[in-house]
Amino acid sequence: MGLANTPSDLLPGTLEMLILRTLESGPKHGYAIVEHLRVTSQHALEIGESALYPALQRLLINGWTKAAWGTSENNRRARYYTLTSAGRKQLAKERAEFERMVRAIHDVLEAR
Amino acid sequence: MTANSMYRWLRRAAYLLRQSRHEAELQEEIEAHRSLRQAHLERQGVAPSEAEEASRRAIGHVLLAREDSREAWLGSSDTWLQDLRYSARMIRRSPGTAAVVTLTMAIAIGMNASIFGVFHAVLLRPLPLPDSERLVWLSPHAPRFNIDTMVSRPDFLIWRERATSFERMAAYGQVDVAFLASGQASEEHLTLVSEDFWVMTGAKPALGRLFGPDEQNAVVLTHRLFEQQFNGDSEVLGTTVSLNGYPLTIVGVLARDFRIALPTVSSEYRPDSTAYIALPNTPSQPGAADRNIPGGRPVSVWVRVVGKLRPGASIERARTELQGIFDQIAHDFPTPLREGRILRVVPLLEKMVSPVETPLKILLGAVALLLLIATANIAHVLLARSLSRQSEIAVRVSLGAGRARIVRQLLSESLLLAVLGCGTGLVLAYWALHAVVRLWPDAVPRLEGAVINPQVLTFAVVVAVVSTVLFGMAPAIALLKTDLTSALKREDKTTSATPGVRRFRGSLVTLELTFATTLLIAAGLTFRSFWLMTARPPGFEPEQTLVTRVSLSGPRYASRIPQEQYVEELLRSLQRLPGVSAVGIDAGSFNSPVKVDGGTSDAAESVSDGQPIVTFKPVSLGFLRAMGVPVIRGRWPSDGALSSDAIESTDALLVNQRFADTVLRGQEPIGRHVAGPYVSGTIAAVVADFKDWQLDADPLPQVYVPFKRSMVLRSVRLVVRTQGDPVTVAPSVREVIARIDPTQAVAESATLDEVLGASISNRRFSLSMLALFAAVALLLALTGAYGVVAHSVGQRTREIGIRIALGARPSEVVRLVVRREIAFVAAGVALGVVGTFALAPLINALLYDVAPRDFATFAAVTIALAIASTLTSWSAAARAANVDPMKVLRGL
Repeated sequence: MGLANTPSDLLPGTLEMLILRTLESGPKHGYAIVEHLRVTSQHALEIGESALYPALQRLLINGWTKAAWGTSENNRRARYYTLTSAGRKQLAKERAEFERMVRAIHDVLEAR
Repeated sequence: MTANSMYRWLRRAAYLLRQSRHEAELQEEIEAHRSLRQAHLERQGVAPSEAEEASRRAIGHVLLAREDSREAWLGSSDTWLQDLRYSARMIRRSPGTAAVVTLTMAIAIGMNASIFGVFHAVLLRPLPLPDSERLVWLSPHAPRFNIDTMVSRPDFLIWRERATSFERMAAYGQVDVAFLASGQASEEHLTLVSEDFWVMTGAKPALGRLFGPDEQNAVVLTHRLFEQQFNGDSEVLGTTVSLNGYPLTIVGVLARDFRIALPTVSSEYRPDSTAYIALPNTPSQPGAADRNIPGGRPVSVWVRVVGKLRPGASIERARTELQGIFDQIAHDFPTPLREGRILRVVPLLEKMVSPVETPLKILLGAVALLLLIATANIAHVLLARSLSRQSEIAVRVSLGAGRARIVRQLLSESLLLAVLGCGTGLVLAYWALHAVVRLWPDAVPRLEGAVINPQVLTFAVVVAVVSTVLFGMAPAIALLKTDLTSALKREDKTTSATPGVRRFRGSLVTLELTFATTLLIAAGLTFRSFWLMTARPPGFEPEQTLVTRVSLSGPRYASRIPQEQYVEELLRSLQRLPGVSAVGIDAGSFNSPVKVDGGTSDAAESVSDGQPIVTFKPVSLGFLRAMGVPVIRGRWPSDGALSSDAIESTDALLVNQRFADTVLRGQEPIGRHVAGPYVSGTIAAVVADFKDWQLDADPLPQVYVPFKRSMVLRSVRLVVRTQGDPVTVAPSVREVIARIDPTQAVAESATLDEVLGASISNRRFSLSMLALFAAVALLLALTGAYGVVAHSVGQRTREIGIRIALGARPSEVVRLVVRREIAFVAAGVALGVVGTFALAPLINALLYDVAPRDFATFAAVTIALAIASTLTSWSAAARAANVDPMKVLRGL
């Protein structure tokens, strides 16, 4: 089965965490985020827009990202998302939590 | 709520405000996303047209993305709309329930908004004066009598010179004067003001100018007088008018909107001033007591003072400072008038509205109780309906609706009803406020500003929201307390409530009756006060009596002889007028200690140096006849005995019942000698007590003396008893007075009934409001009780049918149904009586001659309520006896 490209197969909140992580390297627009996730996951994660945009809204509501209009590489207006300091903290928290979870799952799977 | 979640809600709110722009941006963003994908594909060598097609396919559900994004912000907006649409449908399906709820809510909100509108206009609205929050009333206060007193003019000058807490201070006096302009005399309300008054009040002239401090011969008219007396003709500037015979020049007319009801010492109602003059300069020493010069221009030695605090100066500091100055003056110029006085410094607004502050607070409290009753009543109705919808709700739950979702649905129905009710209520309040302002223009100062303003709107909305939350909870509670699974299994639509729900409904009835009892007792006590206030001796017919006042002024009436001649001529001419049955005058009254043979002082109400203080009232003999006051003991002195010829030889006096009761304490009054400082004589008769001035003031011990023996004869009150309608006689009375001397000012005439009515107009206002609240409360509470019993009957139809089929008598059935519900009603009345008994002293301000815990009122209200609620429950239960047993049995 592997990791599918639909976010509903991700653990809840994981997509948001991945977006935050992606934004850590600098402001990006939606397409760049999708591309970044696709490339860094070696094509395992293909995030659809119907999942991406609601997730981006949730990040805005929580104040973890800020959005501003800028110009994309093909000279179109595109919205760039930037990590806020609250977002940075949230990412650290979620990462710690996620790693704890992965370790736990690993432990269960490896248990004899 | 954490700061974080608060920010989240703020961002959501901001989103809502610019939702359409936000959505347009999102669409643009997604389109940009697609075009980037297309560019990417093209770079990989895909043909442009194909790349566009592919990018569209890849991006998939744009609509879904937008929908989900919106939902991220708002929660599921679709479900909101769905709820509302569903609510509207439910309301359409049972229009009766909706109408009852909306109407109840509208009445409650309407009344609350109206009373708050009045409350705000009178007590909270700032005075329409510059920096009004810094304006204060300054006055020596006599704690023993709890009254403010006037300030002597020289004291005021010292205060103004020494006090540093004030930016300004101004003094004023108020008198009624004969105003004579181009041969036309009228009585006007004059205000005499010191310098700084204009600055302090921000007054501006509409015409001409305002007088300066030393312009002793200038008068400024209000716009109203300017229009009424001079038809708004600007030619009057510079012309001369006569005030009490003293010539003054009109220098200006005040702006139309200048209107300030300056407080009197006792805060009683006083008509608006119609003209202003400068306070005369008096070169007096502190404590000097000049007297008014009869017939001349008024000289005010005693003034009222308003001050304007310096920015930042506290009232307390100003008070301490002024008290120090006052004590120093009292030390330097000792007089009994300053002994034991404390300085009072209060906001001017507080002083102006002090007589109505407590009554308005009581009314606001009463109307809040009404709101609670209405809320409980609505809760009933919604509860009953949600019970009848149990099976429907059970179906929805079993189809997967969460409980939270159902509760939200019920709340949204309540909310929709609340919006309807609140809207209707505000329309009602709008009309009600118009009516109140028109019906009671003088009952409450500053009432004219009572309108639906943003503050009143906010109040109404907050009240509506609170009550919606309260009554909206009821169906939700019922839902949580019922077993939905069993509701689903049942076939019939109505299900019997669980004991928990029944107790809840019962306690709603108890609550309603508790508050209704309180309101009814309050209204009852007020009504009884009103009744006692307006009690009158037989023969006293204020409806048949016309009163007016004539002020003798000008050089012609400077001495005693022409004054007496004028009054005698007046009485003679009026007596001859057709339709007049009796005519009399009273020449004002004065209070004085008296020495009475065998009289006791300790029983009298107020005592000075061991002698009782009584009121001397100089009257013509016709006065008591015109008033229709019966003689209780003794005989009327014959007309001859009081005529001008015989006046020196007789010493007959009349006293009232109160005099006999308190000063003589049941001793034979007739023939007893009374010695006052100015008048002495022998009591010839005792007349009944009556009120001819102020209905809510107790009659004082009075001595009626022939007016010829009065010290001053300047302003006389004319009393004309008529055979027909006094209003038809009024013009000819006026004519007669004008014929005798057209230069003498006559005040507006009114029937005594109107005068007395006006004296308690603010009590009438409170009484009318309380009576209305009590009536509505009673109606709501009885409806509530009826509803509960009727619902209980509806739920027990089967049981009742079976009982009847088995031979139960109708009366037994009724008793069975009523028994349980009546307990809740009885508990409500009992709680109401106990609670009101505890709280009754709070409404003391509205009462007259009635103890707040008056047994008779409590008993009467309790009995009346018990009968009314029993009858109501009974008639609801009587339906139970009409159940057709055959129908029930077939239904089994």
